[in-house]
Amino acid sequence: MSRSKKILQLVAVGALTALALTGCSSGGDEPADTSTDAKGTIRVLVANFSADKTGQAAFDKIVDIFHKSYPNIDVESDFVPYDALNQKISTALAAGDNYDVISAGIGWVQPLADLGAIQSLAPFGVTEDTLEKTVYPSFVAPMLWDDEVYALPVVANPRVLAYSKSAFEAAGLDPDKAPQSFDQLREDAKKLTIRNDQGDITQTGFDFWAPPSNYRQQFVTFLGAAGLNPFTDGEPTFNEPGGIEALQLMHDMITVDKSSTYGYQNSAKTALVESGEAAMGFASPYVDCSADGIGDKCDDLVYFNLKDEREVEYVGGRIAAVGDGSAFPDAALAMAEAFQDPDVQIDISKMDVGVPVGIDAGDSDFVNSNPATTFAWQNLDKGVFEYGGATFLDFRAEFGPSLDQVILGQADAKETLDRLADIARD
Amino acid sequence: MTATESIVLRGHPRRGSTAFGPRARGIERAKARAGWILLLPALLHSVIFLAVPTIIVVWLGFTDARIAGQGDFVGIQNYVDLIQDDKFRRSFVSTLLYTIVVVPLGMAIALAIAVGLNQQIRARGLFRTLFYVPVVTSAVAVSAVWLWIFNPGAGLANEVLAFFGLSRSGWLTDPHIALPTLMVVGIWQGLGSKMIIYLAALQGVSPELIEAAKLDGANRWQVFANVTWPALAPVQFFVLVTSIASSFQVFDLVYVMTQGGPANATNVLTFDIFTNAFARLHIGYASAETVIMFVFVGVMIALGRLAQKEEK
Repeated sequence: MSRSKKILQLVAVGALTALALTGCSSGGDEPADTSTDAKGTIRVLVANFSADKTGQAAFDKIVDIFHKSYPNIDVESDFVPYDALNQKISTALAAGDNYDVISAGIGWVQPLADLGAIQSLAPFGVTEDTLEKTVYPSFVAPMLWDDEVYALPVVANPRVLAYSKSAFEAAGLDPDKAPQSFDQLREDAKKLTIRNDQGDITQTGFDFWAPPSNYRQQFVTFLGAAGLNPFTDGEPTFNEPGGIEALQLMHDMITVDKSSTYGYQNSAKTALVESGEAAMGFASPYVDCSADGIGDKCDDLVYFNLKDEREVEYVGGRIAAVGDGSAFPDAALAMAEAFQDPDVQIDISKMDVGVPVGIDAGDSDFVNSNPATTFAWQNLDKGVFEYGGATFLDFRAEFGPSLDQVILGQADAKETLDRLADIARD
Repeated sequence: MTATESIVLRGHPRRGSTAFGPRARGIERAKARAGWILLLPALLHSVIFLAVPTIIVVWLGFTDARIAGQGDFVGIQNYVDLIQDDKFRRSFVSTLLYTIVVVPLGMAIALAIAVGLNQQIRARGLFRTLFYVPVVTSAVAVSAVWLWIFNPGAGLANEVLAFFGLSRSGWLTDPHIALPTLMVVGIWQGLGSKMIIYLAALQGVSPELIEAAKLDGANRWQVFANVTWPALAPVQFFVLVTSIASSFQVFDLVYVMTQGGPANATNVLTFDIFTNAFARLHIGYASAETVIMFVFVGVMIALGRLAQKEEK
């Protein structure tokens, strides 16, 4: 055999050996250290904390609370946007180096539990009963998988509806009467839409506040108003007649009536009803009524819920869970619980445009600081959530673009929702 | 030329030479060893970070893995499902369309700019720099600026249309226009790198040939068509191959600007792979899709090479 061939063989063996050693170097079956004197490092994956001083300050507060119980455990953070969350989790699991604490969205609980990325909190004494004593009751069900609690709710991210009283008056509508049914909403939106001579909208009748491929939460709101949840007992129910009606309404308002411009957002990406570009629409659960914010516009806004068959408010939210296989499970739980501290919830709410889920948060200065947050918190009990079983992430990836196709008139609402239901069941 | 020099140049002894012996063979072996030693780091890198992951991806394509390394063997089921997957077919077509438009247009415009900047014009250095700036600018920053330009409400593009009395466009929110809009950005971003390569190649065009052609009465276009263009042939192939490969792998523009929307209008292959792998957590399925893309790009490059050989 020639020398060069021998050298090639050695190189191949060396590379494969290096790879094998890398594969063997991670993981292990060391017993979990549960003492409060434990020393080590826990890794925390945090979705959607702003990557600036505000986000870091909020996280540092959580760490300070954690260190009161576990002073000798270091905390290593990983801030990611929601879009990158799955990549981080899947690569961590593939490398056998899962995070100790994962803070994600409500919809992630069941898929992550099914994937083995997070562990049940039942062995730690966290049950539905204990959770109901501390958080808004409607937030308990989304934390469950196989009838056990797998995550702790941290903050709610509702989307509220608002309209402008002055715009209603100008359109000849009663400013004290918010639209309730789908028909009323559609008719009011048509009357509120103003166009210039070229036919371009100068005042949007109803703003969905959604970029392209992101009409999911808006559809869930309409679905809830039609009396349905996206999933019931793990089965998709969004494709029932009420769901088809809700999606058809969105298509009619956007593509037929053109009382909303599909996918339009202003350059600041704020809700158009808050900036005065829309008469009515989805809005943030926090509004700055100071001169630096929307100022006097605050007094012009009225917050309301849709109520075709049921009065609802769309609610998303953030959770904190303990990673499966954590070497410090008790410490990881303490870290997750630190996210639930009332002051931390308020900090995260300010940063992440949300409201605290603590059962006593209604008395806080933050919740009472502006009409949007007060309204959002008071209506958490009417929440319709976007979550649904182990296939949720799979289905969620298809949901947005599929809704777009119906909204734009490229696909039939029933066929699309039935197809999505099949994906959700797979 | 000495016999030894002959050996060095051609690697084998001339007939009847007295220089073929142990010393010559030792020199050859030393040169080969030096070559392998110099090649070793790159070879190791390629094996560890290219060859091994490629083999893993090919293997994962035959499994139903949700997370890398955890899945059951399913044979060619992923490939069967892909062929029946409407979203995959559409993303393939979108990628093909994107490549068919961006590559030739990008090459033509870059060549025109290179020819222009090869002339003795004022501020030539400044223009060359300006054209190259997009290449070294972060794709995210580029995308963010173009997002503003194409904002349907307050963007520069619609203001220009309005100035000329034309109706406003949805641009990236219009499913019929979103992909062509991305093509504009893709062409713009790739101009600089192609321009630099063409500029370098233009320096190698023989000035004597150009002068001879001019003396024979050739006009500028005839000089370009009969002297410059043939001289650029090797470079054309390189630019073509790299452009095809990069167009097929377009991801960052789509990720930042449209997320594959609206209504999957800009869902290209790489973004579809990304969605399947990291949004839907279907690693096996995404791996099969990656293999298909890899094979297709390889076929296109091979065809390009064949076309080039036929031209010669």
